[in-house]
Amino acid sequence: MLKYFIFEGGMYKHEILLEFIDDVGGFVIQKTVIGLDLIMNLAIPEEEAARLQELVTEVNGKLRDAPLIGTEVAVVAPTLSRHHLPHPACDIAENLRRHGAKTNIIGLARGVGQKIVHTSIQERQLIEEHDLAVFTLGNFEHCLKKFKSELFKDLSVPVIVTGGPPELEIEGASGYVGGIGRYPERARTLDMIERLRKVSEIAGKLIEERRKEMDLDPLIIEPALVKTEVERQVPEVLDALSPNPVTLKVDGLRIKLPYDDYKDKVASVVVDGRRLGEVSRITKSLMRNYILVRILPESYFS
Amino acid sequence: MKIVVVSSDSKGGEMYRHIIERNVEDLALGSSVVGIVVLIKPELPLFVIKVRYKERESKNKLGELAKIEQRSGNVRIVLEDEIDLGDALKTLWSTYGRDKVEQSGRTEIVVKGADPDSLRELKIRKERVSVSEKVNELVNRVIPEGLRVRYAVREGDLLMVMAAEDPIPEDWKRMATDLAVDT
Repeated sequence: MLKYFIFEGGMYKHEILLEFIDDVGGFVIQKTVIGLDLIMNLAIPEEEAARLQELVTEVNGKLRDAPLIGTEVAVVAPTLSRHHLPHPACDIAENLRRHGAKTNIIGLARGVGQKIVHTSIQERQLIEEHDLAVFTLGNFEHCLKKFKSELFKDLSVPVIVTGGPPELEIEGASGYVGGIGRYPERARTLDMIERLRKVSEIAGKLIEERRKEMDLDPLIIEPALVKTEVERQVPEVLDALSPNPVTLKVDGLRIKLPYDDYKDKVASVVVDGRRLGEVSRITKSLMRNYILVRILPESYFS
Repeated sequence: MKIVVVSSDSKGGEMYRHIIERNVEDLALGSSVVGIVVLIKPELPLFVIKVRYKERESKNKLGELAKIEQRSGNVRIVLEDEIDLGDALKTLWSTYGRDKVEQSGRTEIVVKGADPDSLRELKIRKERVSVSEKVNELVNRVIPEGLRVRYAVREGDLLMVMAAEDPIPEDWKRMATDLAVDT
Protein backbone atom coordinates (compact mmCIF):
# COMPACT_ATOMS: atom_id res chain seq x y z
CA MET A 1 0.00 0.00 0.00
CA LEU A 2 1.19 3.51 -0.77
CA LYS A 3 1.75 5.97 2.04
CA TYR A 4 1.33 9.70 1.45
CA PHE A 5 3.59 12.46 2.73
CA ILE A 6 4.19 16.18 2.39
CA PHE A 7 7.87 17.09 2.13
CA GLU A 8 8.91 20.63 3.05
CA GLY A 9 12.50 21.65 2.54
CA GLY A 10 14.98 23.32 0.23
CA MET A 11 15.81 22.75 -3.42
CA TYR A 12 19.36 21.80 -2.41
CA LYS A 13 19.98 18.08 -3.01
CA HIS A 14 16.30 17.34 -3.52
CA GLU A 15 17.27 15.24 -6.57
CA ILE A 16 18.36 12.56 -4.08
CA LEU A 17 14.76 12.31 -2.92
CA LEU A 18 13.38 12.26 -6.48
CA GLU A 19 15.76 9.46 -7.38
CA PHE A 20 14.79 7.49 -4.28
CA ILE A 21 11.06 7.92 -4.92
CA ASP A 22 11.54 6.74 -8.49
CA ASP A 23 13.67 3.74 -7.44
CA VAL A 24 11.14 2.45 -4.90
CA GLY A 25 8.17 2.88 -7.24
CA GLY A 26 6.73 5.97 -5.60
CA PHE A 27 5.21 9.08 -7.17
CA VAL A 28 5.61 12.82 -6.87
CA ILE A 29 2.01 14.00 -7.03
CA GLN A 30 2.59 17.72 -6.79
CA LYS A 31 5.77 19.77 -6.70
CA THR A 32 5.68 23.45 -5.73
CA VAL A 33 8.82 25.59 -5.80
CA ILE A 34 8.65 28.90 -3.92
CA GLY A 35 11.99 30.68 -4.27
CA LEU A 36 14.50 28.27 -2.80
CA ASP A 37 11.85 26.33 -0.89
CA LEU A 38 10.25 23.17 -2.11
CA ILE A 39 6.97 21.54 -1.13
CA MET A 40 6.27 18.10 -2.55
CA ASN A 41 3.22 15.88 -2.17
CA LEU A 42 4.47 12.37 -2.63
CA ALA A 43 3.48 8.74 -2.30
CA ILE A 44 5.81 5.80 -1.64
CA PRO A 45 5.30 2.16 -0.66
CA GLU A 46 4.63 1.93 3.09
CA GLU A 47 7.71 -0.22 3.80
CA GLU A 48 10.04 2.48 2.38
CA ALA A 49 8.81 5.22 4.73
CA ALA A 50 11.68 4.80 7.25
CA ARG A 51 14.34 5.09 4.53
CA LEU A 52 12.63 8.17 3.11
CA GLN A 53 12.65 9.75 6.59
CA GLU A 54 16.42 9.14 6.83
CA LEU A 55 17.01 10.84 3.48
CA VAL A 56 14.77 13.79 4.42
CA THR A 57 16.75 14.27 7.66
CA GLU A 58 19.94 14.18 5.59
CA VAL A 59 18.74 17.07 3.38
CA ASN A 60 17.44 19.01 6.44
CA GLY A 61 13.83 18.82 5.33
CA LYS A 62 10.58 18.00 7.10
CA LEU A 63 8.26 15.12 6.34
CA ARG A 64 4.71 14.83 7.59
CA ASP A 65 2.01 12.23 7.10
CA ALA A 66 -0.73 13.45 4.77
CA PRO A 67 -3.25 10.72 4.08
CA LEU A 68 -5.48 13.23 2.31
CA ILE A 69 -3.09 13.54 -0.63
CA GLY A 70 -4.69 12.03 -3.69
CA THR A 71 -8.22 12.64 -2.45
CA GLU A 72 -10.98 14.96 -3.57
CA VAL A 73 -13.20 16.20 -0.74
CA ALA A 74 -16.59 17.93 -1.07
CA VAL A 75 -17.28 20.63 1.51
CA VAL A 76 -21.06 20.98 1.49
CA ALA A 77 -22.86 24.05 2.83
CA PRO A 78 -26.65 24.05 3.37
CA THR A 79 -27.07 26.91 0.85
CA LEU A 80 -24.93 29.42 -0.98
CA SER A 81 -26.24 32.39 1.04
CA ARG A 82 -24.19 34.56 3.37
CA HIS A 83 -25.71 32.69 6.34
CA HIS A 84 -23.53 29.67 5.56
CA LEU A 85 -20.70 31.01 3.43
CA PRO A 86 -17.91 31.90 3.30
CA HIS A 87 -16.51 31.37 6.78
CA PRO A 88 -17.16 27.82 8.03
CA ALA A 89 -16.99 26.16 4.59
CA CYS A 90 -13.91 28.04 3.39
CA ASP A 91 -12.02 27.60 6.68
CA ILE A 92 -12.63 23.86 6.65
CA ALA A 93 -11.70 23.60 2.96
CA GLU A 94 -8.50 25.55 3.52
CA ASN A 95 -7.46 23.31 6.39
CA LEU A 96 -8.18 20.18 4.35
CA ARG A 97 -6.01 21.55 1.54
CA ARG A 98 -3.19 22.16 4.02
CA HIS A 99 -3.35 18.44 4.74
CA GLY A 100 -3.08 17.55 1.06
CA ALA A 101 -6.70 17.20 -0.09
CA LYS A 102 -8.20 18.81 -3.19
CA THR A 103 -11.48 20.42 -2.14
CA ASN A 104 -14.64 21.56 -3.89
CA ILE A 105 -17.28 23.64 -2.12
CA ILE A 106 -20.88 22.73 -2.92
CA GLY A 107 -23.91 24.79 -1.88
CA LEU A 108 -27.17 22.88 -1.73
CA ALA A 109 -30.44 24.33 -2.99
CA ARG A 110 -32.50 23.38 0.08
CA GLY A 111 -30.21 22.25 2.86
CA VAL A 112 -31.91 24.54 5.39
CA GLY A 113 -34.88 24.28 7.74
CA GLN A 114 -36.48 21.28 9.37
CA LYS A 115 -39.25 20.44 6.91
CA ILE A 116 -37.87 21.58 3.56
CA VAL A 117 -34.39 20.16 4.12
CA HIS A 118 -33.36 17.69 1.41
CA THR A 119 -30.81 16.93 -1.29
CA SER A 120 -31.80 16.34 -4.90
CA ILE A 121 -30.62 13.30 -6.89
CA GLN A 122 -28.22 15.48 -8.87
CA GLU A 123 -26.77 16.99 -5.71
CA ARG A 124 -26.23 13.52 -4.24
CA GLN A 125 -24.57 12.31 -7.45
CA LEU A 126 -22.30 15.35 -7.47
CA ILE A 127 -21.27 14.75 -3.84
CA GLU A 128 -20.68 11.06 -4.57
CA GLU A 129 -18.17 11.99 -7.26
CA HIS A 130 -15.88 12.86 -4.32
CA ASP A 131 -14.00 10.56 -1.96
CA LEU A 132 -15.46 12.14 1.18
CA ALA A 133 -17.95 14.85 2.10
CA VAL A 134 -17.87 17.38 4.94
CA PHE A 135 -21.26 18.92 5.76
CA THR A 136 -21.06 22.29 7.52
CA LEU A 137 -24.27 22.59 9.52
CA GLY A 138 -25.74 24.98 12.08
CA ASN A 139 -25.86 25.63 15.80
CA PHE A 140 -28.90 23.87 17.22
CA GLU A 141 -28.70 20.33 18.60
CA HIS A 142 -32.41 19.61 18.08
CA CYS A 143 -32.21 20.62 14.44
CA LEU A 144 -29.04 18.67 13.67
CA LYS A 145 -30.06 15.50 15.47
CA LYS A 146 -33.61 15.19 14.21
CA PHE A 147 -33.65 16.65 10.73
CA LYS A 148 -30.27 17.06 9.08
CA SER A 149 -29.34 13.42 8.57
CA GLU A 150 -31.84 13.64 5.67
CA LEU A 151 -29.06 15.40 3.76
CA PHE A 152 -26.51 12.61 3.84
CA LYS A 153 -27.95 9.35 5.13
CA ASP A 154 -28.12 7.71 1.66
CA LEU A 155 -24.71 8.85 0.44
CA SER A 156 -22.23 6.17 -0.55
CA VAL A 157 -19.18 8.23 0.49
CA PRO A 158 -18.09 8.76 4.11
CA VAL A 159 -19.52 11.91 5.67
CA ILE A 160 -18.15 14.18 8.38
CA VAL A 161 -20.56 16.66 9.94
CA THR A 162 -19.59 19.91 11.65
CA GLY A 163 -22.00 21.80 13.87
CA GLY A 164 -22.38 24.01 16.93
CA PRO A 165 -23.07 21.46 19.74
CA PRO A 166 -19.79 20.19 21.26
CA GLU A 167 -20.70 16.50 20.95
CA LEU A 168 -23.38 14.72 18.97
CA GLU A 169 -24.28 11.38 17.44
CA ILE A 170 -25.84 11.85 14.01
CA GLU A 171 -27.31 9.04 11.99
CA GLY A 172 -25.50 8.53 8.70
CA ALA A 173 -22.35 10.46 9.61
CA SER A 174 -18.98 8.74 10.05
CA GLY A 175 -17.62 11.59 12.17
CA TYR A 176 -18.76 14.73 13.96
CA VAL A 177 -16.78 17.81 15.00
CA GLY A 178 -18.49 20.25 17.37
CA GLY A 179 -17.90 23.96 17.90
CA ILE A 180 -17.91 24.75 14.17
CA GLY A 181 -21.49 25.78 13.59
CA ARG A 182 -22.71 28.86 11.83
CA TYR A 183 -20.22 31.63 12.62
CA PRO A 184 -19.78 35.04 11.06
CA GLU A 185 -16.00 35.55 10.94
CA ARG A 186 -12.78 33.86 9.93
CA ALA A 187 -11.46 31.23 12.33
CA ARG A 188 -8.51 32.91 14.00
CA THR A 189 -8.29 31.57 17.54
CA LEU A 190 -6.12 28.55 18.36
CA ASP A 191 -9.21 26.82 19.67
CA MET A 192 -11.04 27.18 16.34
CA ILE A 193 -8.00 26.18 14.30
CA GLU A 194 -7.64 23.07 16.48
CA ARG A 195 -11.25 22.15 15.60
CA LEU A 196 -10.55 22.61 11.90
CA ARG A 197 -7.48 20.40 12.30
CA LYS A 198 -9.68 17.78 13.93
CA VAL A 199 -11.90 17.72 10.82
CA SER A 200 -8.80 17.03 8.67
CA GLU A 201 -7.60 14.40 11.15
CA ILE A 202 -10.92 12.49 11.03
CA ALA A 203 -10.97 12.84 7.23
CA GLY A 204 -7.45 11.36 7.09
CA LYS A 205 -8.48 8.39 9.26
CA LEU A 206 -11.56 7.68 7.12
CA ILE A 207 -9.52 7.81 3.92
CA GLU A 208 -6.84 5.51 5.39
CA GLU A 209 -9.55 3.02 6.38
CA ARG A 210 -10.92 3.13 2.83
CA ARG A 211 -7.46 2.58 1.35
CA LYS A 212 -6.89 -0.39 3.69
CA GLU A 213 -10.20 -1.88 2.56
CA MET A 214 -9.26 -1.32 -1.06
CA ASP A 215 -5.92 -3.02 -0.44
CA LEU A 216 -7.78 -6.33 -0.05
CA ASP A 217 -8.79 -6.01 -3.70
CA PRO A 218 -6.42 -3.41 -5.13
CA LEU A 219 -7.00 -1.34 -8.25
CA ILE A 220 -5.61 -2.85 -11.44
CA ILE A 221 -3.45 0.29 -11.95
CA GLU A 222 -2.33 2.87 -9.40
CA PRO A 223 -4.20 6.20 -10.04
CA ALA A 224 -0.95 8.17 -9.59
CA LEU A 225 0.59 6.23 -12.50
CA VAL A 226 -2.49 6.91 -14.65
CA LYS A 227 -2.14 10.62 -13.82
CA THR A 228 1.46 10.66 -15.09
CA GLU A 229 0.50 8.85 -18.29
CA VAL A 230 -2.55 11.08 -18.95
CA GLU A 231 -0.37 14.17 -18.57
CA ARG A 232 2.17 12.65 -21.00
CA GLN A 233 -0.23 11.28 -23.62
CA VAL A 234 -2.95 13.99 -23.48
CA PRO A 235 -0.77 17.13 -23.30
CA GLU A 236 -3.83 19.40 -23.78
CA VAL A 237 -4.63 18.78 -20.12
CA LEU A 238 -1.57 20.79 -19.11
CA ASP A 239 -3.05 23.84 -20.85
CA ALA A 240 -6.37 23.59 -18.96
CA LEU A 241 -6.87 26.65 -16.77
CA SER A 242 -8.63 24.79 -13.95
CA PRO A 243 -6.63 24.23 -10.78
CA ASN A 244 -5.11 20.71 -10.63
CA PRO A 245 -6.21 19.78 -14.17
CA VAL A 246 -5.69 16.11 -13.37
CA THR A 247 -7.04 15.60 -9.86
CA LEU A 248 -6.22 12.35 -8.09
CA LYS A 249 -8.96 10.49 -6.29
CA VAL A 250 -8.75 7.39 -4.14
CA ASP A 251 -10.07 5.17 -6.92
CA GLY A 252 -9.35 7.21 -10.02
CA LEU A 253 -9.02 10.69 -11.44
CA ARG A 254 -10.95 13.76 -12.49
CA ILE A 255 -9.60 15.12 -15.76
CA LYS A 256 -10.61 18.72 -16.31
CA LEU A 257 -11.19 18.56 -20.07
CA PRO A 258 -14.59 18.51 -21.85
CA TYR A 259 -15.95 14.93 -21.84
CA ASP A 260 -17.40 14.96 -25.35
CA ASP A 261 -14.18 16.19 -26.98
CA TYR A 262 -11.63 14.13 -25.06
CA LYS A 263 -13.28 10.93 -23.81
CA ASP A 264 -11.90 8.82 -26.69
CA LYS A 265 -8.41 10.24 -26.36
CA VAL A 266 -8.43 9.56 -22.61
CA ALA A 267 -9.77 6.04 -23.18
CA SER A 268 -6.91 5.29 -25.57
CA VAL A 269 -4.18 6.34 -23.10
CA VAL A 270 -1.90 3.31 -22.62
CA VAL A 271 -0.83 2.55 -19.05
CA ASP A 272 1.29 -0.51 -18.29
CA GLY A 273 0.49 -1.93 -21.72
CA ARG A 274 -3.32 -1.62 -21.28
CA ARG A 275 -5.78 0.90 -22.73
CA LEU A 276 -7.31 3.05 -20.00
CA GLY A 277 -10.75 2.46 -21.52
CA GLU A 278 -10.37 -1.27 -20.80
CA VAL A 279 -9.33 -0.98 -17.17
CA SER A 280 -11.57 1.83 -16.01
CA ARG A 281 -15.04 3.35 -16.28
CA ILE A 282 -14.88 6.72 -18.00
CA THR A 283 -17.96 8.87 -17.35
CA LYS A 284 -19.12 12.47 -17.63
CA SER A 285 -18.88 14.45 -14.41
CA LEU A 286 -21.77 16.64 -13.27
CA MET A 287 -19.15 19.28 -12.58
CA ARG A 288 -18.63 21.24 -15.81
CA ASN A 289 -18.72 18.10 -18.01
CA TYR A 290 -15.27 17.06 -16.82
CA ILE A 291 -14.08 13.49 -17.32
CA LEU A 292 -14.28 11.06 -14.40
CA VAL A 293 -12.10 7.97 -14.49
CA ARG A 294 -12.84 5.17 -12.01
CA ILE A 295 -10.19 2.47 -12.17
CA LEU A 296 -11.48 -1.09 -11.80
CA PRO A 297 -10.22 -3.48 -9.10
CA GLU A 298 -8.12 -6.57 -9.88
CA SER A 299 -11.00 -8.93 -9.02
CA TYR A 300 -12.93 -7.56 -12.00
CA PHE A 301 -10.44 -9.19 -14.36
CA SER A 302 -9.90 -12.52 -12.60
CA MET B 1 -26.61 48.49 23.33
CA LYS B 2 -27.89 45.50 25.23
CA ILE B 3 -28.43 42.12 23.57
CA VAL B 4 -30.59 39.54 25.36
CA VAL B 5 -30.87 36.04 23.95
CA VAL B 6 -33.45 33.67 25.40
CA SER B 7 -33.00 30.20 23.94
CA SER B 8 -34.07 26.68 24.81
CA ASP B 9 -30.66 25.60 23.43
CA SER B 10 -28.26 27.64 25.54
CA LYS B 11 -25.09 26.92 23.50
CA GLY B 12 -26.86 27.64 20.20
CA GLY B 13 -28.26 30.82 21.75
CA GLU B 14 -24.78 32.02 22.73
CA MET B 15 -23.56 31.47 19.18
CA TYR B 16 -26.46 33.56 17.90
CA ARG B 17 -25.49 36.36 20.30
CA HIS B 18 -22.08 36.32 18.63
CA ILE B 19 -23.65 36.34 15.14
CA ILE B 20 -25.77 39.38 16.12
CA GLU B 21 -22.78 41.27 17.56
CA ARG B 22 -20.68 40.70 14.42
CA ASN B 23 -23.52 41.72 12.09
CA VAL B 24 -24.21 44.89 14.08
CA GLU B 25 -20.50 45.70 13.65
CA ASP B 26 -20.50 44.87 9.93
CA LEU B 27 -23.49 47.12 9.27
CA ALA B 28 -22.01 49.90 11.45
CA LEU B 29 -25.21 49.99 13.52
CA GLY B 30 -23.49 50.15 16.92
CA SER B 31 -24.60 53.70 17.66
CA SER B 32 -28.06 53.37 16.10
CA VAL B 33 -29.31 50.19 17.77
CA VAL B 34 -30.41 50.67 21.38
CA GLY B 35 -31.34 47.13 22.33
CA ILE B 36 -32.02 43.70 20.87
CA VAL B 37 -33.92 40.78 22.32
CA VAL B 38 -34.05 37.37 20.69
CA LEU B 39 -36.21 34.37 21.53
CA ILE B 40 -35.15 31.04 20.01
CA LYS B 41 -37.09 27.79 20.23
CA PRO B 42 -35.60 25.32 17.73
CA GLU B 43 -38.04 22.60 18.80
CA LEU B 44 -41.10 24.55 17.48
CA PRO B 45 -39.25 25.98 15.41
CA LEU B 46 -39.56 29.69 16.21
CA PHE B 47 -37.16 32.62 16.05
CA VAL B 48 -38.19 36.06 17.29
CA ILE B 49 -35.99 39.12 17.08
CA LYS B 50 -36.95 42.56 18.38
CA VAL B 51 -34.72 45.53 17.67
CA ARG B 52 -35.12 48.98 19.22
CA TYR B 53 -33.18 51.64 17.32
CA LYS B 54 -32.79 55.38 16.85
CA GLU B 55 -33.82 56.77 13.48
CA ARG B 56 -31.30 59.42 12.48
CA GLU B 57 -31.87 62.98 11.36
CA SER B 58 -31.48 63.61 7.67
CA LYS B 59 -27.99 65.02 7.17
CA ASN B 60 -26.17 64.88 3.89
CA LYS B 61 -23.49 67.54 3.97
CA LEU B 62 -20.06 66.54 5.23
CA GLY B 63 -19.95 69.68 7.38
CA GLU B 64 -23.03 68.47 9.31
CA LEU B 65 -21.72 64.95 9.75
CA ALA B 66 -18.10 65.51 10.74
CA LYS B 67 -15.55 67.80 12.34
CA ILE B 68 -13.39 69.28 9.62
CA GLU B 69 -10.05 70.93 10.36
CA GLN B 70 -7.09 72.04 8.28
CA ARG B 71 -3.61 70.81 9.19
CA SER B 72 -0.50 71.77 7.22
CA GLY B 73 -2.13 71.75 3.79
CA ASN B 74 -4.22 68.67 4.52
CA VAL B 75 -7.79 68.49 5.77
CA ARG B 76 -8.67 66.09 8.56
CA ILE B 77 -12.26 64.85 8.66
CA VAL B 78 -13.52 63.12 11.80
CA LEU B 79 -16.95 61.57 11.24
CA GLU B 80 -19.40 61.53 14.14
CA ASP B 81 -20.81 58.17 13.12
CA GLU B 82 -19.16 55.22 11.40
CA ILE B 83 -22.36 54.64 9.42
CA ASP B 84 -21.37 57.56 7.12
CA LEU B 85 -17.86 56.29 6.40
CA GLY B 86 -18.67 54.29 3.25
CA ASP B 87 -20.59 57.10 1.54
CA ALA B 88 -18.04 59.73 2.61
CA LEU B 89 -15.10 57.75 1.20
CA LYS B 90 -16.95 57.00 -2.03
CA THR B 91 -17.77 60.70 -2.60
CA LEU B 92 -14.29 61.91 -1.64
CA TRP B 93 -12.62 59.36 -3.91
CA SER B 94 -14.73 60.39 -6.89
CA THR B 95 -14.24 64.13 -6.16
CA TYR B 96 -10.53 64.26 -5.22
CA GLY B 97 -9.12 60.96 -6.53
CA ARG B 98 -7.90 57.94 -4.59
CA ASP B 99 -4.32 59.16 -4.22
CA LYS B 100 -5.44 62.29 -2.34
CA VAL B 101 -7.84 60.61 0.08
CA GLU B 102 -6.58 58.43 2.88
CA GLN B 103 -8.50 56.76 5.70
CA SER B 104 -6.32 57.28 8.75
CA GLY B 105 -8.61 55.81 11.40
CA ARG B 106 -11.93 54.10 11.93
CA THR B 107 -13.82 57.38 11.49
CA GLU B 108 -10.96 59.58 10.27
CA ILE B 109 -10.17 60.62 6.72
CA VAL B 110 -7.35 62.87 5.52
CA VAL B 111 -7.73 64.73 2.21
CA LYS B 112 -4.57 66.22 0.73
CA GLY B 113 -4.71 69.75 -0.67
CA ALA B 114 -8.48 70.26 -0.35
CA ASP B 115 -10.35 73.40 0.60
CA PRO B 116 -12.12 72.89 3.98
CA ASP B 117 -15.07 75.13 3.06
CA SER B 118 -15.89 73.22 -0.11
CA LEU B 119 -15.54 69.98 1.87
CA ARG B 120 -18.11 71.26 4.37
CA GLU B 121 -20.60 71.78 1.53
CA LEU B 122 -19.91 68.41 -0.09
CA LYS B 123 -22.99 66.17 -0.17
CA ILE B 124 -22.03 62.56 0.44
CA ARG B 125 -25.32 61.03 -0.77
CA LYS B 126 -28.50 61.96 -2.55
CA GLU B 127 -30.90 60.39 -0.09
CA ARG B 128 -30.82 60.31 3.69
CA VAL B 129 -29.51 57.25 5.48
CA SER B 130 -32.26 54.96 6.51
CA VAL B 131 -31.37 53.18 9.73
CA SER B 132 -34.57 51.18 9.47
CA GLU B 133 -33.39 49.69 6.15
CA LYS B 134 -30.13 48.67 7.76
CA VAL B 135 -32.00 47.17 10.71
CA ASN B 136 -34.08 45.14 8.22
CA GLU B 137 -30.84 43.92 6.68
CA LEU B 138 -29.50 43.01 10.13
CA VAL B 139 -32.62 41.02 10.94
CA ASN B 140 -32.48 39.15 7.62
CA ARG B 141 -28.83 38.29 8.13
CA VAL B 142 -29.48 36.91 11.61
CA ILE B 143 -32.70 34.90 11.18
CA PRO B 144 -31.97 31.26 10.20
CA GLU B 145 -32.54 30.84 6.49
CA GLY B 146 -34.82 27.83 6.80
CA LEU B 147 -37.51 29.74 8.72
CA ARG B 148 -39.35 31.26 5.79
CA VAL B 149 -42.75 32.11 7.25
CA ARG B 150 -42.34 35.63 8.59
CA TYR B 151 -44.49 37.98 10.61
CA ALA B 152 -43.15 41.50 11.05
CA VAL B 153 -44.44 44.45 13.06
CA ARG B 154 -42.89 47.91 13.18
CA GLU B 155 -44.03 50.27 15.90
CA GLY B 156 -42.12 53.54 15.80
CA ASP B 157 -38.52 52.72 16.56
CA LEU B 158 -39.19 49.06 17.38
CA LEU B 159 -39.04 46.28 14.82
CA MET B 160 -40.24 42.79 15.66
CA VAL B 161 -39.82 39.90 13.24
CA MET B 162 -41.03 36.38 13.92
CA ALA B 163 -39.82 33.52 11.75
CA ALA B 164 -41.07 29.94 11.64
CA GLU B 165 -41.59 27.09 9.22
CA ASP B 166 -45.38 26.88 9.65
CA PRO B 167 -48.03 29.62 9.80
CA ILE B 168 -47.53 31.49 13.05
CA PRO B 169 -50.38 31.01 15.58
CA GLU B 170 -51.86 33.94 17.51
CA ASP B 171 -50.57 32.80 20.92
CA TRP B 172 -46.98 32.82 19.61
CA LYS B 173 -47.55 36.37 18.39
CA ARG B 174 -48.81 37.38 21.84
CA MET B 175 -45.80 35.70 23.47
CA ALA B 176 -43.46 37.62 21.15
CA THR B 177 -45.24 40.92 21.76
CA ASP B 178 -44.77 40.48 25.52
CA LEU B 179 -40.97 40.23 25.15
CA ALA B 180 -39.46 43.43 26.46
CA VAL B 181 -36.38 45.01 24.88
CA ASP B 182 -33.99 46.16 27.61
CA THR B 183 -32.07 49.29 26.75
